[in-house]
Amino acid sequence: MSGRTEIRVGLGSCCQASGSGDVWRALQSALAAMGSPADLRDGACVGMCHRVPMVEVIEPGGRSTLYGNVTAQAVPGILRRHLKPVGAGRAVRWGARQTWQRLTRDEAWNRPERFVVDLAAEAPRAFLDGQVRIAMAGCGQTDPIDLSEYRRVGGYKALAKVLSTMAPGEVIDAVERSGLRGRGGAGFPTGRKWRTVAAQADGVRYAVVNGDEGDPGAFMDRMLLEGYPFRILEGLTIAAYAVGAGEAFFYIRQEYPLAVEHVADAIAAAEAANLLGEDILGSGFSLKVHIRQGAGAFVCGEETALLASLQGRRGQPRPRPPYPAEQGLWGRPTLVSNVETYADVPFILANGPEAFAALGTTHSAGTKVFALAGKVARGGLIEVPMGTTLEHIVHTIGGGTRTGRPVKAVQIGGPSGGCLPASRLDTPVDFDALTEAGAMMGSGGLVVLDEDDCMVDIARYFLQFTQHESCGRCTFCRIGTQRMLEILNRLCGGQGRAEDLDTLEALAGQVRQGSLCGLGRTAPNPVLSTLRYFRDEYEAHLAGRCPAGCCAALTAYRVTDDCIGCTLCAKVCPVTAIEPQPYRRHSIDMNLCTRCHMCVPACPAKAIRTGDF
Amino acid sequence: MDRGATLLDAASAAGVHVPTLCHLVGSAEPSISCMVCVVRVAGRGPLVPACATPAEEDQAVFTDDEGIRSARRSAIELLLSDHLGECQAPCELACPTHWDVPGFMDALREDRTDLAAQISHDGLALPAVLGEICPAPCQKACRRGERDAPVRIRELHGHVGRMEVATARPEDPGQARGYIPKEDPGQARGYMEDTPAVAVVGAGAAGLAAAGRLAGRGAAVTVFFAGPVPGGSLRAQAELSAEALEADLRSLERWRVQWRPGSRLGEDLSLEGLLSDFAAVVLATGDRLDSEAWTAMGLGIDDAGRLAVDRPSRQTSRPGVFAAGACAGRGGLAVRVVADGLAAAEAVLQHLAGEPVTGPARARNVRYGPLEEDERAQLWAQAGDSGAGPDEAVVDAASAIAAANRCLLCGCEGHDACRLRQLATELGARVSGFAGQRRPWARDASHGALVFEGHKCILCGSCIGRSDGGLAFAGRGFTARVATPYDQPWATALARTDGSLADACPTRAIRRKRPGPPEGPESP
Repeated sequence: MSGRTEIRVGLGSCCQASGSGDVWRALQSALAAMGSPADLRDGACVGMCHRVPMVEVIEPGGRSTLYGNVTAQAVPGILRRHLKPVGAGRAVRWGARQTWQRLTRDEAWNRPERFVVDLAAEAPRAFLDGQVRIAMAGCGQTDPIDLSEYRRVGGYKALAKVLSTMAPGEVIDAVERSGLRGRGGAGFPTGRKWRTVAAQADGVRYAVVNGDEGDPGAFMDRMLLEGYPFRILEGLTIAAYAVGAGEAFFYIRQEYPLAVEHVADAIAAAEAANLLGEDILGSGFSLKVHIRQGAGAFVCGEETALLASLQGRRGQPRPRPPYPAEQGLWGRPTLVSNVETYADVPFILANGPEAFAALGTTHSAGTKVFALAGKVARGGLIEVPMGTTLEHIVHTIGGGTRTGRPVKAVQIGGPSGGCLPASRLDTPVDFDALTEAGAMMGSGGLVVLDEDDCMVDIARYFLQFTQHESCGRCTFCRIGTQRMLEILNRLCGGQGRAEDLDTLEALAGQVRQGSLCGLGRTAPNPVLSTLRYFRDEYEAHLAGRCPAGCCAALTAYRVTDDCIGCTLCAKVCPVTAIEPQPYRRHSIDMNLCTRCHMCVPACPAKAIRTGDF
Repeated sequence: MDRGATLLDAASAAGVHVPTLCHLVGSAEPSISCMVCVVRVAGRGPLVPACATPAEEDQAVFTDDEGIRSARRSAIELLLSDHLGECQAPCELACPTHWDVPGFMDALREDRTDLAAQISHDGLALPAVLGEICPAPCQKACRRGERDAPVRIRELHGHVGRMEVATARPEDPGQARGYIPKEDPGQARGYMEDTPAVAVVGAGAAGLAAAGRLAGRGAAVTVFFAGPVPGGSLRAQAELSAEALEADLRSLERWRVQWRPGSRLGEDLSLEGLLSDFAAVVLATGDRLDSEAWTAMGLGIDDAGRLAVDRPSRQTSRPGVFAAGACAGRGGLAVRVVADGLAAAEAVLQHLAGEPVTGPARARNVRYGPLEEDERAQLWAQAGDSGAGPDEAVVDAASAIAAANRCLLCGCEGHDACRLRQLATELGARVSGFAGQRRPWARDASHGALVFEGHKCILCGSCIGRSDGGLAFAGRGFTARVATPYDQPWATALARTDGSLADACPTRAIRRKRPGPPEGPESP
């Protein structure tokens, strides 16, 4: 530890969206006013999205204090707890200003103690204890683009070891023994893929990092690219060495500008340190790394579409075989792997494949990063060993629902995945177990749904996404998903027809069987899994009811006798469907009501009910 | 197999039929769009497109099972649901004979009376007669009628039917083969060279129609009838002029139809005798014979005592004996009786060719259905409007051409060659299996040699590789489409491309421009 206090603030794009940029600027100006008694650094992502913006103060002795949900107004108070201004003049000015502000503003809300996150307390413990961080190891403790900090947490040891002591074949052996499977969704054994690329005839080969993360609600890859770019770069360099690639590409969607910026900075820093470029670390191995930005088409996450896009063509998939490992970029053998897969590689080489294989289950080794979201109490980015049950993730790590309503289902795997009901939460996070249950590992989106969520509407939401993102090449994906979507729209709109469920199920099966690429083949999963576990909800829609009270056309709102006449509902109603009647029971004009649901949480007496009255 | 051969190549080498739609033989890269050629490779989960899957040694491939058939059918049904086409014109579909009205009009517009006569004789058998007595359901369906007045279809075929034009079968079969009709694929049949002998009993509308269709296809037809002159009950129709009937009879004679007057079935001639002399017999005796007479001839009767006739195939209980018209329970409107005679003739042609006798196969037809307001406006704006006003009678060649020029040439000229329609028929796909949102009606006729009708496009992409950069896919999801760069007019984007681009299109969404009146504005 240096002799100075260090202050870390997460500046990932999602942290910034929650206001960490304001906190950062407040810290900057306050520290400047105090004569810079501490260093301010980007702390990247720690995964606790439910507590951001977070500020960590590390005192010279190493004692660390964590503050969560910090506001810019709370910044001076926090600094006062840990720091003194530099120099007598500043101390007087600072003290006077703080006193004046204390007198003129109500600071009761901004007392620093209120923001302290006690990691020993129950909730943070529950959130953190079940996690094992491999891909995210060290993330959150290092400045994303500071190479020396990455090295401080053990970075580039694996690469040094590989280049000085291991032949490419040995590296592949190690990855194969580790049991690592691709983290992009399909779970193809990584070692076997490397071996295929390495086994191709001599000549030019490429390695590609698939950073075209596009699942709604998933942000694992963005976080790793933004917060931990050296880790991916190290994994990529090891992979390129193993398969004999001299050139590599990051394919990152342009909606991730910070990721592009940080990866570019990391590449430059690594090149300057001879960790990339010509004759890396004197090993004779050279690697040139480029960044290409995608224009934001979900289908470009499919590897053949991604390669077409990299070559400047329309992002349309082609059938495999030939696999990219045999004929990829410009017809050359190409290794295409997901961001998280590369991030796991340095751990395997540094700690040995056995250490990785020891985690997880027989066929799914290691850990998996998930974006835990939805109605869960403690959302965020988590990394758990394979084999962890969904129950543990949802209830222990995530703390159940924040609404207090029972968990109804977990949507896992994004638009390619499926919905598992609460009764199947004993399913372990494992490629094969999830597929068997009708969901999919996918890239790691995990959305918790409660009893207020309509499963037909959820299926419709995801299908709408895949239909819009279909490249339009093959019939089943282009038109088939549209026809399925129209059926779901009908059901949610209360216009279902008797034959709709059978047609939907049959068509879903055919879209799954007959589409050209993974996008189309997995697009029906949200529909098929909800039909499998929540068929009664579909049938209810057919009968004109939405059991969750979610589908506007099928839901009515009613004020019960519990109404205390407070008029709050009438105040929040945006369409004046409720007339304010102080101290009398209110009523809702269903002809005006748009089912926006604003009145329900506004009612202090919980007197507004939804249903099919 | 060669290395690099696909499963489709392998199947075709092994003589196994795998249907394909978007695949163009000889193209450098498969389109892999329609997914009609899906097959199942043992050991692999999903279906794979045969056109783009490499064939491997010792690979078990299933090309046909219920799952595969139903996936193929669904693929076609899905494509049909987003294919805003009109296989046949409303007039063609409205007429019970489904004759080629637009082809007839097109021939007249180009002043090819001989072709027009061939089309009308082949399709209607009695164009002059029907020109006088038909209630013209075609004209009630005519789209032109929505705007001003329908095209005078009936008057036009009546006019052409009365003309002495070379509608006869060519003496030398090596020469022109007569008119090969633009009709349903199952029905399109060329000229037979071995002139099988066919007997038709009865010379009313049904008998004459059957005789005309059979003779037109090369059969040696003899018509037996009770009276002194052919015509049967047609002669009792007050509104029918003698000239019109004579004109149609002369045309049949030019097709070498032989008349045998005074031949009463069961009295002057026997069914046994006919069957020993002729390869097939068509009974079109009207309502003259009763159940006793039929039974005496060894023919089955139904519960009501009428001659038992299998509806689609027009076969009686005796092989080689067919029935049409009133005696087969199909009387009434002359044009319906004519259509029944033509259908019986088609069944006879199947019988003569040794094929399964199923009667005329009805191909799948797509129709526009309700168009949006702006689509209708576009359609009218693009319709060439030149020619006579609605009230001008057809009296001579010039007025006939003028009347034909009012025709909008509805329907799809590519409907015989349309691979989508063929496959829909072959696979038994339902036209409205998956109705829903569909692509908009849009025509670009700016190009000198090509017309693009985006509403018929099935996005196979066959044209893109041949367009010299003038075409590409645009958009995503359901609204993906084939477009020119920045949606320029075709005349600009495809300035270097000629009419041959149309040959790649399986649905004639791209077609060569017709000669004659302009199709819409030359430059938008």
